[in-house]
Amino acid sequence: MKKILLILFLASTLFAQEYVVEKVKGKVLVQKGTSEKWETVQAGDKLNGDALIVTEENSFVRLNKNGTRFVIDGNSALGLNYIKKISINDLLLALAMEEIRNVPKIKKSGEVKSTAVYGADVTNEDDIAVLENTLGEKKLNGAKLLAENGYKESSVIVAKETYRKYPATKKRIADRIYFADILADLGLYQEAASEYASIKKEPMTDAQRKILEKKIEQVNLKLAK
Amino acid sequence: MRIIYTILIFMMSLTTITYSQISYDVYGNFIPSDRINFRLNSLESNPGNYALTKDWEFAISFNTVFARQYSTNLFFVSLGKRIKDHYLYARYTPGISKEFKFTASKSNIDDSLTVFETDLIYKEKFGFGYSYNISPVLTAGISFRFFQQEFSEEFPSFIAGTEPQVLIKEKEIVSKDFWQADFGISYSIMKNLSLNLSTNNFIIFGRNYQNVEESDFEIKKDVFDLRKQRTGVLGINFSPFEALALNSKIETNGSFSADLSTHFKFMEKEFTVGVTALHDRYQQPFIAGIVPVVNVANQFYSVTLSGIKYLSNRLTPRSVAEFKEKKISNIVNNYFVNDEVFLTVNFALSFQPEKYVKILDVEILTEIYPTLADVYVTKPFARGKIVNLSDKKITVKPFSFISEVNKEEVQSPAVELIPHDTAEVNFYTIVDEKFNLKRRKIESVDFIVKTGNGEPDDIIQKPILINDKNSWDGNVKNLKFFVERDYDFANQYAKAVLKNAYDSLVNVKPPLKNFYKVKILFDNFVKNMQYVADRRASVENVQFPSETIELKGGDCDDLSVSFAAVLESIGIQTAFVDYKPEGNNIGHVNLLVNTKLKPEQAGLITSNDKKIFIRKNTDGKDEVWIPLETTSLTNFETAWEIGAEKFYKTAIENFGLAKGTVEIIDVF
Repeated sequence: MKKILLILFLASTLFAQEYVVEKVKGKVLVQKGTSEKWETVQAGDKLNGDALIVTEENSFVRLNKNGTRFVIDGNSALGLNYIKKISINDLLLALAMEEIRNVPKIKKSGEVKSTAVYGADVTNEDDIAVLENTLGEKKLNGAKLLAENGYKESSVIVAKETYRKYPATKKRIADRIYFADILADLGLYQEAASEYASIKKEPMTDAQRKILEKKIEQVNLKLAK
Repeated sequence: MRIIYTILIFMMSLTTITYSQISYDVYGNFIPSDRINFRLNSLESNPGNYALTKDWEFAISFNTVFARQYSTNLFFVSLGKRIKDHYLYARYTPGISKEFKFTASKSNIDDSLTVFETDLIYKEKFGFGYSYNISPVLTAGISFRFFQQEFSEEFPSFIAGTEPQVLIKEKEIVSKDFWQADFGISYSIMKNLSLNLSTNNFIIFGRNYQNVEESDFEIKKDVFDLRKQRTGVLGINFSPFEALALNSKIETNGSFSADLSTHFKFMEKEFTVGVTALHDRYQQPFIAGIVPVVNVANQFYSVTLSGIKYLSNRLTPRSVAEFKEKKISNIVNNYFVNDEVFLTVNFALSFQPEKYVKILDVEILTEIYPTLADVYVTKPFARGKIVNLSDKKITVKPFSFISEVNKEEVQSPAVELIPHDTAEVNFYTIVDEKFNLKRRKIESVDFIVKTGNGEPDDIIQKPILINDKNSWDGNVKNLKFFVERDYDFANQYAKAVLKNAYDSLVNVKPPLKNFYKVKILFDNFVKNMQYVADRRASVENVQFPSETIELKGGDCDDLSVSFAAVLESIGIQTAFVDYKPEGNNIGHVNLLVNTKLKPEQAGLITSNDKKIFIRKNTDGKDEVWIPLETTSLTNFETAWEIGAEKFYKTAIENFGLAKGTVEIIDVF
């Protein structure tokens, strides 16, 4: 497995990130770069790393990049740029970045905010229904695919970004424990402990809570060493 | 001490010819310390004219000679003046005068005796000193002293043609004078150790006498002249403890003096008690005399009682033969003089207040950019190093005054300094909002330190570069100052545009209002706008929003500043995205705009989550921000797409935010 991973890593760095669509089943869409358009993926299409592939239930797409195949299963979404091995250091940088944006701006006295206290628009902000968006769930599935194929570090980055952009996915306790476990597997116990602590704040079943408590205990033991 | 002793013995061993000690001061080796601001030695032992006097100083001294009868005289009056690093000193010394009378008798025909007198008068009439502080630790100077010698000799003469011959007295009088010039340097190796090097009789010049060798009279020859051997003097001043000082002087002729003094404070006055032992190879015993000194001083005056007590009998009559043999080298201290007491009073005739603090140096930290005025209120533009010259704890108030920029001195935070301590002080300034220079200009800035409310203790002047109002220091954090300058203009502009777009905004649901306002304003902002690079110059330039909108052009910083001003003026939060220069890539700046949408609402504005960036607000809640490439002068959608692509690739995918190569800087 390690040999295969090494080949994959070399392949990803030596050649341009161009994927060829070998096979498509069901409904598979692609969004390229920052475009708003969704296009249907067909066999023979060539896709760059900036493409986001989305598959519906019971669909899949098989991609080939320089002889290496990658299958995106149904009900998943995956940015092709994430199909790459990244270092632990880069993962730590990504987690640090997460910290940077999670720190709220310090409130300054006398801060200029023309609508902060007086003159606020009093119309109910929530009168627009939040659109049902399943992309977040699909993205988590895509992240799991990455982990299953050996791209554990990338999978954590995708999961984190998904939690931020699709806050509803934060409540998927099992998924969150899954990605926190990956952090522990990678030896990032401090980061894993922090993620477990964050999950603990969410509502969950007793069984989930029990599993979580055990995970916390295990990671704390590792940290104590 | 052992080292000093070894040096002393070594120097003594080098000397084969011994002379009487030439440099002798009425205060012994008493050297003013940092705690006493008066000059307490004279040109005799201080030819380098070293002084701590701050301004004007007047001194007067009286002496009493303990000979067969007491006599009290004015010993000297002196005046000193410091002008910055120069110190000038002049003195009139009627007391440095000694008269030696020797008699011889001759029998007359009638067996009566006629007494013939030889009278030798030595005077040092006046002197001048000049010294220069080369650095805070090094001083060099020169002194000039004027000497006069008046000798008279009575001799027998017979009246011609008388029988028996009649003996009468005749008198030959000679007056000789000369100048003596000497040099000296003082070097403080450390706070409690200093060295002095000086000369004695280095240059002698004056009147020459003709045919003195052929003269019958000894007074015309140099047998009675002051000895003027050229020598060098090494002085060491060491203070092992604050209250104790050890000073010594070693002359190349083998004579030396050593002093021990202690000082203490009593009733706000500084007391010093010291004693100097003099070794003169020509005089006996080994320690020829001791010089006790008691001094009391405050900042306005100093009173010193000193004296010399010889340890041999000085009342025995001396013969002219003995005088000829031994000669004298020093008018005040020689084998033929008696014990003396000196009372000296020094007055500070200062027209300036006492200085407690001195500026050692000031470093200019930045040029002045008038538009960044607020920066200099919180961040120092210069930093100085100051020293407390006094022996008390002081509070120092630093001020700065930049010509043409400030109307009055600007005070910076005060600092407290313990005695003789050094500290850093920061200088801040306030630039008037209306201040405007058409071209960059070099101005002078006065750095001032005060310990009281009146006159400054010290001032240093330095040049500083003042930029024009459009100059920018290249720090993206400081672009916000350009944003806020034109708020009124930007606000009027934004309101006018939104008023025209009333119909398209009126039905927009509140959560999307910010987003659509940004869209409408941007589309209007870029109409006929052109990208125009900065002019080639040694300093970065940024236009004010009004200039960019009216000129219809600018570069990335001009356009980002201008559009940020438009949005901020109507309460839409913005942030600069600072893409720092990397390798061959030059830096770039564009904008992030807060739509105020929740992440769950992002789908209302885009189906592509690469085009949004989630940031926590001050309440810790996530909000959707969108990147805008302000140089994309097409339309809002394109500017958003281009901005998002660059931001996603550089800041997120390549971890620019975590690595610090990309920085988000909130405008407010």
